[in-house]
Amino acid sequence: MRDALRMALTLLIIGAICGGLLSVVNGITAPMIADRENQQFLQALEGFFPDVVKFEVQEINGEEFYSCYDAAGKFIGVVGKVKASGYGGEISYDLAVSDAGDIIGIRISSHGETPGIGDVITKPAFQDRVIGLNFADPISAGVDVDTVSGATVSSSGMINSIRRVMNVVGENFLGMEVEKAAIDLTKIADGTYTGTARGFKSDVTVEVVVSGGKITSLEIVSHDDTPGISDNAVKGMPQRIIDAQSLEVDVVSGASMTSQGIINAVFNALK
Amino acid sequence: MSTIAQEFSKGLLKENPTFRLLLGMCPTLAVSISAINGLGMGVSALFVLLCSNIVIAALRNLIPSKVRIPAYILIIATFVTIVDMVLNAFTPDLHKALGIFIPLIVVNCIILGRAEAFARKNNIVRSIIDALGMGIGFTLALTILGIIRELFGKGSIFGFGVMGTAFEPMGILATAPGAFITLGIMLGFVNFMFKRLRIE
Amino acid sequence: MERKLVVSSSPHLKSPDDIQSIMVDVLVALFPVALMAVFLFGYRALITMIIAMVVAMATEAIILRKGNFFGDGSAAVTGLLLAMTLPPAPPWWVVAIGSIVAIAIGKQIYGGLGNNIFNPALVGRAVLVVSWGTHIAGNVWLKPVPFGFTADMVTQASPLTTFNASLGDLFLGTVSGSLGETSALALIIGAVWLFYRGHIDWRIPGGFIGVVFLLGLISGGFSMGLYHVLAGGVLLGALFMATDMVTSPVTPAGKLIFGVGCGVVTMAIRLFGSLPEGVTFGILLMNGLAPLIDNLTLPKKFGEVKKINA
Repeated sequence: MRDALRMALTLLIIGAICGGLLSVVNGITAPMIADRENQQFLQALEGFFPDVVKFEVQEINGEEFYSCYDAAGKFIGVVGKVKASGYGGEISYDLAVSDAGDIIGIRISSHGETPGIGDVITKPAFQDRVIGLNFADPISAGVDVDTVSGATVSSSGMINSIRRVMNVVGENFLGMEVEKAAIDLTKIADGTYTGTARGFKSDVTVEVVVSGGKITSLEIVSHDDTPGISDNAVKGMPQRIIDAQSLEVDVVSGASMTSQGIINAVFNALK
Repeated sequence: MSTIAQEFSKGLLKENPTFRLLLGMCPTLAVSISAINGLGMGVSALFVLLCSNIVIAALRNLIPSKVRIPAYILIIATFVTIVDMVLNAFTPDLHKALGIFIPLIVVNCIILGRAEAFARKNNIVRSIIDALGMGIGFTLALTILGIIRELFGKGSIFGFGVMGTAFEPMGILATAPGAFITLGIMLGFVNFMFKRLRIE
Repeated sequence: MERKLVVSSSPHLKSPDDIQSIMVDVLVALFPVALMAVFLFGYRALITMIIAMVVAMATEAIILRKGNFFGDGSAAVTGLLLAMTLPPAPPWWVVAIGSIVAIAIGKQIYGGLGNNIFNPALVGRAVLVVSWGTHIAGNVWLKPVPFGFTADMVTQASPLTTFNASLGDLFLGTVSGSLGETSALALIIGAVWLFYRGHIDWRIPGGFIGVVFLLGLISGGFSMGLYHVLAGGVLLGALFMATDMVTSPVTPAGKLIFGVGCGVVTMAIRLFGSLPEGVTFGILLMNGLAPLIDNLTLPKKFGEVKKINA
């Protein structure tokens, strides 16, 4: 008994001393670390907004957005640390949007695209097509913004993602109305509607039945996306949309391009 | 009883943790990609080893032997966390380069091994000498590996380009297979030299 | 004279082959391939082959501290095989480093000929590919110019990335590619000599080529199957690299498994991997498995009976 007590006591004392020591060191270093990290972020943001002196971080759907302010405290723009799906997996990039809704700059931080082909997204050849676009511009891969030939999947993945990010930024930071969110089912007359939009590598066509202000049935009429990969989206997305009675639904992971295509097709059908 | 000098030099040569005892291989392979990383890792481990050896030797009669391992781990983890915080505050680049391998010093066999095999049986002075010898031996080994891999894999030493612009670095040395190849060749070389010079 | 009783360990039966004669046979078998390379790619191919062989032999002579430069000939074979896997005209130092790595790290570090786990020439090539990929697999494929001994260098894409060469060109070798891999005809002539001399067994190349053909067939029909066999390094790898006696299994069943494994890995890399060619890594991977394959396929000893559980 005395033995056990002694052991417990020894460990307790050692633990307490260690904890005390750590809190002292932490007290000294924590402010330094925080200060330095702040500096690093500021430097990164200065690449897009040279006037930035202060920023605020906000997390939206798992992605971080940095609102930037100049010396006078005026809001000058937003930088989003966001992700797109490309040919070789996820593309992480920073997108800077000014307070007027213009794309100021884009910086790819990591990607798995094929060297010499898909990595065109890191180069001016692609980035110049995107920079300068405004929130109000229609941004749709292959329609309003040309994809890079030979790197269609990489560039259209980026363009679709940029449209999505622009919507998030517009809604949350610039106070703009996002058209897509504005589909009002109650105002749509009963009937059957068809719409088409781009999926992963083919056009997805859907048939939507609306009755009494509700989507009662949603069918994928045709698509030619990769079998096996897109299957989950084709099976899962209609039910998600019907359940939510909205297009604001999560995409099926692993088949996000096809999922997004289905959402866009429904939007096109009902708009 | 061995002399102080012997106690110190054994960590450098005869019982060099990396080249002779093959302890702490995980950080050795992972961070020896450049000379500065090797040096930083070595010095960090040296600091933790020195502090933990001192404390453990000082407390050797107070810690009940049944709970000595948790007690050692507590002490070692404390010093490792201190190193982690200090590096993050003062040398952020090195901290970023070493990454997860700083916290992992806690489970580095060299440190727990010296605590268990040496510090708990010897007085403070001898434990300090032992920690210095072992720690410097580890640091030297990592720095040498780092210099070799950086020199041929990137064409620089401690970040200074020394091979000229025409030099095309041997990329494999900067990758994980390169770590194994370099370590293997160094082990063979050290064994060869020991045999040659009859140091046993 | 005092009589001595000599007791030696097996083997007691000796074949007339020794290492040197086998190596000379391999060199002879590689001759048509080398000739074809010079015919297509000119003097640059010749220089690449000479550098590779001389550096390999020099490295071996220095490490073994032997005066005899040619030695048992295995270094010359390794050097030449390495050159066969390289593009026609890489920088000279790339070739030299490849040879040094092949002999020093691929072979001698393990204890010399017979003790190496991996095919030395392929070890050399693998290190070069990872280190200086742009010189080995980048925009380096010279357009072949028959009889153009000193023709200018014109580069073009390798048939394994374009998939547009005709099967006839692939068979003759008038396509771009590594020195020794373009001409199926020359490789087959060389291999016939090795078969005739009994140095290689049909099982390894048979399994290797068969599987490559089969998987190519599944992926894109009959002509695609043939294309996969003829384009790239499959024939060179299957006939000259995978059949290396030291690094392949010795049991008959093991050899077949080994060949099939090489083919499967090669095609997996070609069809699904990020590299256009997978022969090197296919063979190296199976080299590593060869001892295990041998263990699993040991033949039953004569007179051995299954143990019955009591």
